[in-house]
Amino acid sequence: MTDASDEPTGARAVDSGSADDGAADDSIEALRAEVEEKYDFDDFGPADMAEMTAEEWNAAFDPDAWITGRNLLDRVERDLRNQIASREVFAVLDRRTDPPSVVAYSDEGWAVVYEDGSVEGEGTVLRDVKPTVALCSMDSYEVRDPPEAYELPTPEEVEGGTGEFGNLMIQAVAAMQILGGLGLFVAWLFLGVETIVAPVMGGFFLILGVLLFGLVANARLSDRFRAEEYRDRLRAAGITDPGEDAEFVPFEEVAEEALAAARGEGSRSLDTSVSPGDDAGESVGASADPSGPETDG
Amino acid sequence: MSSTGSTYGDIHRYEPARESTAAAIAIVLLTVVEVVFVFMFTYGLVNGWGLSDTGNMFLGGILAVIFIDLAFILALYRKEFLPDVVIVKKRRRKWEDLYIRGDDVDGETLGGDAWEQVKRAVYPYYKR
Repeated sequence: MTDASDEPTGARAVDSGSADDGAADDSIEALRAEVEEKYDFDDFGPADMAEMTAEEWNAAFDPDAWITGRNLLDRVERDLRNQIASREVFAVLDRRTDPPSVVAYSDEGWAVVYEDGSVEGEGTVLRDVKPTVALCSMDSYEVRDPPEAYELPTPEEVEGGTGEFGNLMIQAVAAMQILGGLGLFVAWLFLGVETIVAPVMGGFFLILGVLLFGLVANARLSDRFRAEEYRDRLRAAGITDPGEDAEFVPFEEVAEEALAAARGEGSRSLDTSVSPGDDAGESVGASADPSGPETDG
Repeated sequence: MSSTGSTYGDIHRYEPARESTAAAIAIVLLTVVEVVFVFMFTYGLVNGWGLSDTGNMFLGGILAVIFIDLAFILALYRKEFLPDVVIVKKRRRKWEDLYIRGDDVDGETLGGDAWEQVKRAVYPYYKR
């Protein structure tokens, strides 16, 4: 499915389905029948795969059975929109025309899907996109229509401090527990309640109340920090509040550099930092090495 | 963040709390019940309800209601009043990762001496 070894031409798997001439067709048919005979495709493992020759593989593989080309890209884009809308994938989507491809990127990686179904990229985004491409190339897979607003929220849309009402209720319970606990203690000390059960239960209630207050305090604190962290990550992925300019390397530059590095065109280290003192866009999907020399992408 | 090469702890999804009306009503009712019963238990214990057999059982029942009610309150709170947060974590090895390939079916032999194995089990950063 994936090969990052050479430049995809976008027409590799598309044209092999057209018939060339009768003789070649017949031999392919014969070979295909032979392959069907030789291998059990219901129980096809890595060992069989290793045994197969390239010709046999080409004969058995029917490119018409797979969706490729523009159609595939459209399906992949729609499916990814669905996944981003349900927040299963954290990425920003983009369509490029040269070569035609669907691009998904975040602060933690990127993936490029080409028309022939090959995928390049790195990081979590690549891991999330790969199975999508495989699914979308199958006829039997139905892609649902994505919602209109599928994008990740802008940083200012992320609202922290929700669930305050629940916090209030928990605090009410905690306060009541502490009051009850103190009441039991006071009764045992001053009101002549003899039994040992009173202070024990009182202590129990007190501990419970303190724990519940701690629970609420922790929830509020972690909520504030997490909301802020999520905003930071959104900014790092290049999503900014309206009216703000992203301090962000354009995707093309980073992708070209990363691709160049991945293909081993010189083992130059990448430096994607834009300007000192910005933390957005530091290493957008590329393994940045700040100590490396500047490269102009 | 990503320049360290590790993405653990990154927030993958952050959805605000749902706070549905039904949940709000339910948690209010449960809280009222909780408060009433805590007060009742305290009052009963101080007034010596537990000195008779039936009263003692009654007090025990009240205590049980308090804690069960608290469990439901906390469950509701977790589900409806806390934001939905998904964090990137390290994926631990699971049993279904063991025999991915057919030729792995015999597994791996436990090599080395037993003392090394013990060290490895006790100390996570022991040299591999």
